[in-house]
Amino acid sequence: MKQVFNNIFENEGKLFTPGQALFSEETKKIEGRQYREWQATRSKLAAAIAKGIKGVEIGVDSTILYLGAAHGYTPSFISQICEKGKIFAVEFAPRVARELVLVAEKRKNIFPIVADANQPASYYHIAQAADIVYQDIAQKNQVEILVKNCDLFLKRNGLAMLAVKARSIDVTEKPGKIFADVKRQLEERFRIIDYRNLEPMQRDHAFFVCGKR
Amino acid sequence: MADRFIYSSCIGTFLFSESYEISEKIFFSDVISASRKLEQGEWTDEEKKLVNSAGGKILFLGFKKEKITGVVFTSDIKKLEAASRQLQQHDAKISEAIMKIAKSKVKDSVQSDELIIQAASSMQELDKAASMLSKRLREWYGLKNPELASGISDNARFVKEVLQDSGKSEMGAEIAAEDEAEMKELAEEVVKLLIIRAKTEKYIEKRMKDVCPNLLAVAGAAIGAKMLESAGSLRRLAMLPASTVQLLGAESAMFKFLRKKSKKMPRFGILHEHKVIATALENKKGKAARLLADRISIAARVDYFKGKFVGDRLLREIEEKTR
Repeated sequence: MKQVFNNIFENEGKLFTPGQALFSEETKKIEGRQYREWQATRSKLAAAIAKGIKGVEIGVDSTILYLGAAHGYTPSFISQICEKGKIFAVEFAPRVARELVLVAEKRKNIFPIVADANQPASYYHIAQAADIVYQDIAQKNQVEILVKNCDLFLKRNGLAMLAVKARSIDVTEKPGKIFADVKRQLEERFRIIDYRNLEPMQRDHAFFVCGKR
Repeated sequence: MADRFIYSSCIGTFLFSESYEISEKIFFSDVISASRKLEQGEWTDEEKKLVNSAGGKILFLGFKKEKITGVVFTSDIKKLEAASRQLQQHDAKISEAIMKIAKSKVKDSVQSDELIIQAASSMQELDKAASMLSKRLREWYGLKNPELASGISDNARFVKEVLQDSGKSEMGAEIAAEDEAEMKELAEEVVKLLIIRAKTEKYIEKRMKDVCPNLLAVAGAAIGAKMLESAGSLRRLAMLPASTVQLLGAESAMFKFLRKKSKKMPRFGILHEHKVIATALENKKGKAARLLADRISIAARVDYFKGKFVGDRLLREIEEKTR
């Protein structure tokens, strides 16, 4: 078991976090400690880490604003990574948020917010100042949403992480061109620390890690 | 030189001093109704009270639709950082409030058309299950009485016959009472499924009368409910163009045609089962489908926007035009 980041481990090409399984994953027990498999095909963040991205500094007590939490797969791993921190998980669709709430009952440091990430003012009374804003939302105006939320919630020395789904921005354009456009848009407001194309684990996806300017 | 400010968290509203410490607080009496107001940018009574007690001229960390004289709005991240840090002492209360708010959102999100859609899916699945088990029963009971098994094509009648049948068959094997009892148990289950299916259709009709009476009148319960299921909700069905409504259920045939892998353009999907189309002449089916889809689309829109009942007028229009 090799440690790649704080509380993130790697073994035989697979990623693990310490803790119990929540979505019926495989677990391993090494030297008395329980580890839980984190699949790169199910999580954009895991895929980015598996592709060697730098700068994913999730501290043990970070506060994270997670936009597009869905069922809570990736948030549950982040919850184990920053075990003493807080994750404000925003998800718009009620049917899916339902699952997220059930995960939050088990992981006490996940705080579900059923709201539209396009209207951050609508959860200004719930989400708190964050060290990291993580976004995985399949919308055309993804970058605009990220900027709006970072303006309101991201601390001055914070990190922004963006998973980009090329097909959601433009179904007909070449992904490479879309990623280049996104990079340009991000550079207007952020300092890009690192980025990766997530092939082959996630088709037509890229991942950016940025710092506030 | 820092300024005092007011910030509202989900548990209450707080006044922060120049040193960014909590100097005054008012907890919300009802977290859920307070949250509803806050997310819309409306003032709560507790906030107005705190603004008054702060002396009227104060900075407010957040957003409101309505301005109050003396209140200046800010979204300074430094202030939010300070507020978040100070609020840690109320972590348990905040945690509880957030869960409560999230759960109430999920609770309130269930719409009445969702009940109809779930029932429609259930009805289709009951059909499939009854059909599959009837097939099995035919094979099984066919060992005893093959004439009966291939003689009656209607599943419901066949199953009833199995339960009554004690007749002889020249081709059928001699089956002990114990073995026959097993087959009859399966037959009983199929009967139960068919009964539930019929009940479900009646239930769907009842609910649709309430939620979408126009759609019920024009399309009927079975087709109407299947269309709702296909579109996902009454709202989505109402927003679809009539041409799409016409082809709901025939998507694979349509895209096959569009990809030039087929020479035939489909003229109808789920609508195929409607009486008007089933009874129309072959060369008039396309026109009938178009007219029907148009009226269904209108019906869905009237229902979604809660208009008057125009279902019978729409039906009459269709009948006149397809005469």
